[in-house]
Amino acid sequence: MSTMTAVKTPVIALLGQPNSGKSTLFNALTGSHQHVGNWPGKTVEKKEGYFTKNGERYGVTDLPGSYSLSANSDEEVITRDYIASGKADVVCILADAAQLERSMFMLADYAGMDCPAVLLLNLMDIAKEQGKKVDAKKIEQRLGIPVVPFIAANRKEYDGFYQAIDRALEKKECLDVKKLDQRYREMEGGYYKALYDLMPKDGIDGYSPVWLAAKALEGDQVVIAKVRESLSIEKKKAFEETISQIKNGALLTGDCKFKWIDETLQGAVSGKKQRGTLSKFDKKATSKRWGKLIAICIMLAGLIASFIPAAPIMMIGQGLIGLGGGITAGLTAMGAPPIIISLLVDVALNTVGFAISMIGFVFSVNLVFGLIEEVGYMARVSYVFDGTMTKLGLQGKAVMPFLVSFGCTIGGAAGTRVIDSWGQRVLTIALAWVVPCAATWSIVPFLSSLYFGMGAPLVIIAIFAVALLHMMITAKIFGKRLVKEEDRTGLIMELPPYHKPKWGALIRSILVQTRDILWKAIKVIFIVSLVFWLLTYTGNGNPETTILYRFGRFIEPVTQIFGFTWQTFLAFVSSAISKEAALGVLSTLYVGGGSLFSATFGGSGTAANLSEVLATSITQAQALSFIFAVTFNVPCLMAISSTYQETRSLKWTLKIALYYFCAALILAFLVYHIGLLIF
Amino acid sequence: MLIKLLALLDEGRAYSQLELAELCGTREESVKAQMEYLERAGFLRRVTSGSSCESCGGKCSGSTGGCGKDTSRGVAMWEKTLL
Repeated sequence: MSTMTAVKTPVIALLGQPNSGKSTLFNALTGSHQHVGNWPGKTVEKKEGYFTKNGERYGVTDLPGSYSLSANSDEEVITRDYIASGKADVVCILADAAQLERSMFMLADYAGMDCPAVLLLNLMDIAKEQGKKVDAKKIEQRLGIPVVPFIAANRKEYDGFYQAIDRALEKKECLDVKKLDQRYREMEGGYYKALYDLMPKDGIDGYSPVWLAAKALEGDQVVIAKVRESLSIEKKKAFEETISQIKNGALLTGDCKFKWIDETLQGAVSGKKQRGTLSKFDKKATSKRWGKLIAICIMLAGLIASFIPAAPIMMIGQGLIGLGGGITAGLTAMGAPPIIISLLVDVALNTVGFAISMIGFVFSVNLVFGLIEEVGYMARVSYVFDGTMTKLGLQGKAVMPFLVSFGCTIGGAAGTRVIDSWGQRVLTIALAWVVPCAATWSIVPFLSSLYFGMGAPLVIIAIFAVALLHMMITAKIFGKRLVKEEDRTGLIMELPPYHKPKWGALIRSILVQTRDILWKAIKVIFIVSLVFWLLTYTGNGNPETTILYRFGRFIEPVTQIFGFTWQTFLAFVSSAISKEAALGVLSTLYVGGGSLFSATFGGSGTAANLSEVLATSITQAQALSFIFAVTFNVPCLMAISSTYQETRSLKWTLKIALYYFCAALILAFLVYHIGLLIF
Repeated sequence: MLIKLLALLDEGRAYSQLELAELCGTREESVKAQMEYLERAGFLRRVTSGSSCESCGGKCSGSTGGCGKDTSRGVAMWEKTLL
């Protein structure tokens, strides 16, 4: 007990990073015996108080919380000046036991200050919850000051704290900085020694030479000014010279400090072991050998799995369209005017039918990918394809806009803002256009299911493969003119731990998204459908005489070469405006035509269901080539406009658009002829 | 530690924090603490596209109901700042 020491009230200063528990401790100790004011001449809050223990009074000062003791803010300068002034008899440093590697940095920055200290490893309960164990004794041995495991919120268990304080007041042990000093000396360039030797033996204003030399090395302007004032002329000259030679001082001292922290914690801190199967999986998922394969398999499996909930919804959509014949007959019998019937059935009903047919896929694809992201796996995908980015001539960061393009190409284009060089940005966008966006992922499975039934997943896989090939070829073509051999910059990625998905929130947000998409799709399909309907409607019931049909028949010989009927060709062209538009065109030109026909010919030839009509009008080879053409066509009008926005180059935007249109045609040609061989 | 971490980045590939920890012979928490220091000192910066659906101007045409919720798609990335 401190009965033999001076009568003056010992003062304990509380030091630590924000959220280390200083306020909790301060309030627990002082209760109502505290007083808040301001540090003289500053707007920084000053909290002082006292507590009584065993008849002795102890003063407490709560110093402002900060990450370290730099010169960057008033709080930090006030804090370190206070400690250096000797007004505190003990500095009680609080560290978050659950984040020691981080919170000990304050200790590292404090190191070298000659004031007796105590280290409190606070928040031990949180550390325990996280499965972390801390060996305070080991740390104490290495630091030479009392180290106390602590929970500031547990007022009943402060004995360790009181004992440590008394010991500090009695023995006046300061933090052992020999090892840190050694680290500083090992620093290349010998700057530390040079600066250290110039410092006055007793330091300046209560700051020790160790501390001053390190801070000056770091470029701490307040310290440098202080040192300048205190040195003789010749020493000052040497000082300035050394200082001017130092580059990235903060890096050098930080390096030493973290090495010191690491040494101090070595073997004294242990964390929770990762759960077995998950971390084994993660090792494979992030490995060079398996990572990419696993990623592709998971994404493909996800896409294929999304067929399951989507198929029944598609049936509903188809069924709705199939009602067309019956409704037409019914309305005709009631004597409704044919033009109204046609509008209702051919445009309105079909629009809704088509929109519903595709919306099932929208929902399930979004759900599957939303789930993958929510669980934390998407990050692994970014990590694993970093090398692929290099092969394509892109920066690693490009994986970000690519993933966004999976949802929407417009977002992908905007996402390329992370990329610094213009040429790289343009190349990234040019390649991102290959990535099928959500609109494609809703239309393509729908059409594939329609034509290939159970074989639809194979079509998806084929599209994936072609997309990869397309990207490589496109990269070669555009890369030469946009990108020179550049130094690659490294990236650090944080792969979050896997966690259970929040199903409720996820499904709710997907439903909202789906609802918005459904509404938008209905609008687009309706308008396109209406436009084409206007172009093909005739009073006499024979659409063959309309301009559009005549035009179509005229170009058909050419389109047939590419595997398009004139109807699918027009649908393909309109897919450059919007993918859903293609559906609208198909709807009117095929299904609309059918029921128009049947309406005027007495309802005999009813369009029983969509598959029948389309199956008879388009061959499987044609369907396949249509699907590929639409997938790899220009994404949509908005994508063109945002590409122009991001690249600021009309020339490149048009080049890219033209390239994709032609590439889609070539692809259609190839797929069609391959299709002829298969079917 | 810090110096080695930055030097590794010069090799131009992407690292996970766990990987960096293994390469530097330390623990993942230490890597995170070091990255925080580097970020504060201006040697490292977080990669953000700086874009959001507002800046898109809502031009998504809504076919996806949005760019895909958030532009970072759930990966936090850092790179060296050009000194």
